[in-house]
Amino acid sequence: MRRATALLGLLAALAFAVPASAQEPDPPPRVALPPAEGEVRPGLGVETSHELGDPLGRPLSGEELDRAVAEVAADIRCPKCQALSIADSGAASAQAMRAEARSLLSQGYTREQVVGYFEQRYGEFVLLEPRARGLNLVVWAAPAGIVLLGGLLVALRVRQRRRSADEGLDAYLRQVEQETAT
Amino acid sequence: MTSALGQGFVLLGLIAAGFGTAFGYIAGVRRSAAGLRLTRRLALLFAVAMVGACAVMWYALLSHDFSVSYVAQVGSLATPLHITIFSLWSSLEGSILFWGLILGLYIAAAATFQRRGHEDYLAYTLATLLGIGTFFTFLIASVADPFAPTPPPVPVDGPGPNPLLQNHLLMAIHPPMLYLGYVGMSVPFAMAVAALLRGHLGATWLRPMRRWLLVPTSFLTAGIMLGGWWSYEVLGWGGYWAWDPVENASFLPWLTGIAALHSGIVQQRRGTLKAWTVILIMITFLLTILGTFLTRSGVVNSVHSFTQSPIGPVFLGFLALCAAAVVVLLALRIDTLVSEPSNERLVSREGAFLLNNLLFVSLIFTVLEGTLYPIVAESLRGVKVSVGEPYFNRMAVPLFAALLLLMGVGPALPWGGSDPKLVRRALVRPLPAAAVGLVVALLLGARSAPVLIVSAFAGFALWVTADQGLRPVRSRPRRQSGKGPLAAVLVAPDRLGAYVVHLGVLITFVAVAVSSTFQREAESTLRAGDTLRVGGYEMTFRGAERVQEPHLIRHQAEVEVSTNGRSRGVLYPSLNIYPNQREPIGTPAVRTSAGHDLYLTLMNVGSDGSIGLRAITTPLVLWIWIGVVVMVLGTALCLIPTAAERRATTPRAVPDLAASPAGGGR
Amino acid sequence: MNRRVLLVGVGTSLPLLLVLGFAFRHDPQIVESPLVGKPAPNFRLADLDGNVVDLAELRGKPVVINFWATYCVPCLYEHPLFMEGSRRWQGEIQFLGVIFQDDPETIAEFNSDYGSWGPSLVDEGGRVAIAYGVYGPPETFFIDRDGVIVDKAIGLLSPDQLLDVANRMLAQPAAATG
Repeated sequence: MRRATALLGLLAALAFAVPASAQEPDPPPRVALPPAEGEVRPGLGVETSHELGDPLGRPLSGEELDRAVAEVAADIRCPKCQALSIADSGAASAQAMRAEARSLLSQGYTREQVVGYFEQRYGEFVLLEPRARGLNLVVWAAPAGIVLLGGLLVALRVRQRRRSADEGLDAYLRQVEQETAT
Repeated sequence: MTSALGQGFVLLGLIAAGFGTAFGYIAGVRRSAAGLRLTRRLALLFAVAMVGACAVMWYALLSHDFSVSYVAQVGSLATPLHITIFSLWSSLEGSILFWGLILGLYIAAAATFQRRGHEDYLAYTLATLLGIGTFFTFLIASVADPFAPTPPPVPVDGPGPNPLLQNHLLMAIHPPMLYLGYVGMSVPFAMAVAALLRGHLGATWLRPMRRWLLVPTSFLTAGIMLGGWWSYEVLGWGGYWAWDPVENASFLPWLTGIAALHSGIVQQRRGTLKAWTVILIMITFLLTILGTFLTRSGVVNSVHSFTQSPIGPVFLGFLALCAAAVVVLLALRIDTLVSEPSNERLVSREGAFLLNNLLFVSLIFTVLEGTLYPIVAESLRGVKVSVGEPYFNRMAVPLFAALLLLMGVGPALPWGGSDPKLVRRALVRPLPAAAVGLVVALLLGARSAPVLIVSAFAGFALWVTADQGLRPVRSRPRRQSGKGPLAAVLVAPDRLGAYVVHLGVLITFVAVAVSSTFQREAESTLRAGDTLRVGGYEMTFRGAERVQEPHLIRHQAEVEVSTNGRSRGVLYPSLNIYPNQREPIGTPAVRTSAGHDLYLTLMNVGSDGSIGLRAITTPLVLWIWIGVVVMVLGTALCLIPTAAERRATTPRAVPDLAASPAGGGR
Repeated sequence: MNRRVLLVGVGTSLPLLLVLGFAFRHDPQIVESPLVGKPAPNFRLADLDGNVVDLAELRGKPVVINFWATYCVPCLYEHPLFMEGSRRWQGEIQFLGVIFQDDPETIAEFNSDYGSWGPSLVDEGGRVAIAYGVYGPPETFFIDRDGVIVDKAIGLLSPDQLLDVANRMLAQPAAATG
């Protein structure tokens, strides 16, 4: 009963709270600046290093970093949106993920490591391009298969029609010969 | 009261369609003229019932009659008038009702315009169309009833339609265009069924079929383009095509429709590929039903999909029924469609058409398989996967490039292709144009191999398209030259139309390739007075303001745009906040010019007055839409009757050579 | 009867229809987390008052982490449930709220109006949400005494599910902590 009254009270409050909070626009991003190494507030944050292992590449910066971030971002699905990548989406969580990718790449993690990190956290679903292994090979191989199969059918058809057309012509010539002979 | 009236009209439609289906097939079997007359009347009655039902719904929407459940679902007193009108198709039940209206109009048109010259097939055609109508009216009368009375208490106001649909006027025309395309595919399908049942298809079938296929294909072209444009103008991510499952669903029947149009040309010229054309038309129809199923059943993740509803299984059942009917009918009757014997070579016009169909089928298969694979993976592996933009781009771009090459090579090749010297000359002559395309791309700064290849192909194809399209004008007989080029074109407008469509495809193709390669973007958090730079533009943030409108709150940023220190005007990207909707919806501000677009999106507005601004410059975006407009105009040209058709009403008198849209190469 | 056409037709349309039929068994909105059964990523976050919470220090006690925001309506529906839960299992289960893309001030205001059921942790840069692979609020992670994620709820958490998982976590012997 108490829970029910609490819920009712909350719902009543919601009627006011929601429009009130809706007037506040999207919260300002608290993600705009990538926490460069050593810049994170001391002691706070999340431990990712033991899952990621050691950085396998070299730290990137400047335009090279921008390019690498863009490449990774184009292959990661924005979790909140539908078919968009985090590169294309303006959603706050997509911005946070771009910032995370930037931070990791600037620390020397390779693209594969960064993509792998997102996959490990969100599941295979965040990869916009399925990995070519196991059953997924079907989705990669099938288009080539259909082109080859179709090509074969077209080639067979052309050959077969040519032969039947030749036969048709031969028969016609024979008939003409016979008719002219008599 | 309103509810009952609307339901009455739907019921009337259901009865007319049901009886019409039965009478039509009987009339077809017995070749009964009286039966056909009755079927035509029932077809018109069906159309009247659908018009009536939609009129009642519009009346309910406009009078804010919230006792009708659909109005309670999408209506709201604050919604502006024009949006209330469009809200007929803004939600599931209404969109199916609207579907019924369009089907009714198409059926009425088929019953009216196909009276002469097509009698042989008409009874079967109408019966099949009314069969489809039976399904849709059944749907409207049962699981998707928009007229169901609202359970009391009847609300005094409603939530209004989906805010995304309120944001731009394009939403008013994009869905009707798509529906006109989707639903219109029923007509060629019904004609294909009729041809199979009759067991033959001649000129009296092919000509009207082409026309009935051209119309919906062209609507689909426009609808898909408007969807891309809407996505670009409203969704604010700077792109127009995301290979979203629902986008793919509209893309698939468009591709099969085009493939069928092309194989129909071969049939017209050579009397071959008859069965293949029929198969393509049937697949096109099945894909429209599949697409509708994907959009409405909630089985795929998509921006555009409607919420999950009981309609899914019913639609799947209908799809299964149609697929079964198509397979059985094809298996039983396809051998009646005998191709005329003809000699075929790969390097000839016919060969190019065969390759064209091969590429289209591969493309269709790839898109279909990529769209459905996530469902397969989840069923077999139990894991959700995504197949998204990077995959489709990688797979589809080579196929599109091959189609582009074929668009140049195909029309250049002579029919038959038996003379190697002629073939060689046809292929060598456009080569300078290909070289020009290559040089232009190099001068513009393109260095990547795919872009250079596409440019060369595009140059080649452009030359061939212009050469072939203008041939009737240039080579008109001397004694006719006094009549002017217009008269020469009017002999066979469909021929010119076909090449105009090709020209539009070329424009769009090049614009898409260039715009996706040379996009530049920058993003930053700005305070008043800060400047963001991208692609030669400087964007200075002047300040943001909050505007209260009746049905939304808009945050609007004032951004001054300048190049080289000279002001180019002010843009106002904004974020709209609708009540009951947490995520603000951005309206980007776009500065369009012939060369490129500057695209500003407001990402967020901070409480301290700062904004997150994203700026993208994309070259040639305008030309994507222009290309599509050219395609639609070209299709319109194709619909003008040829001189031969105007002269003679007897189909036998149609001289095939002059009337062929892709004829020539003489 | 053309057998080839029949075969090809049935061979292509039947699997397609089966695939589509199977699609109904899955909710497209729900993505299973790969983290269930794996150790929970450790984090140290400050709550609204600046008190630091270290997940590693809570080892030995089951933890419920809820990612939420004031703009998310199901989160608000969950609020009484967590209030009740934190009261019922006081001292036995630690409830933690992680703010998902929301303004700390708005959260503080909400908490003072409706009460809070645990620390509201400020996730700078959303990095903890990424480490937990959060698609959108509300999402609830259940972490057992050993620091392993035993379950995850997406969307509105039902009282039954909370009760069920809480009892499962509590039933695990405390001695297993190592």
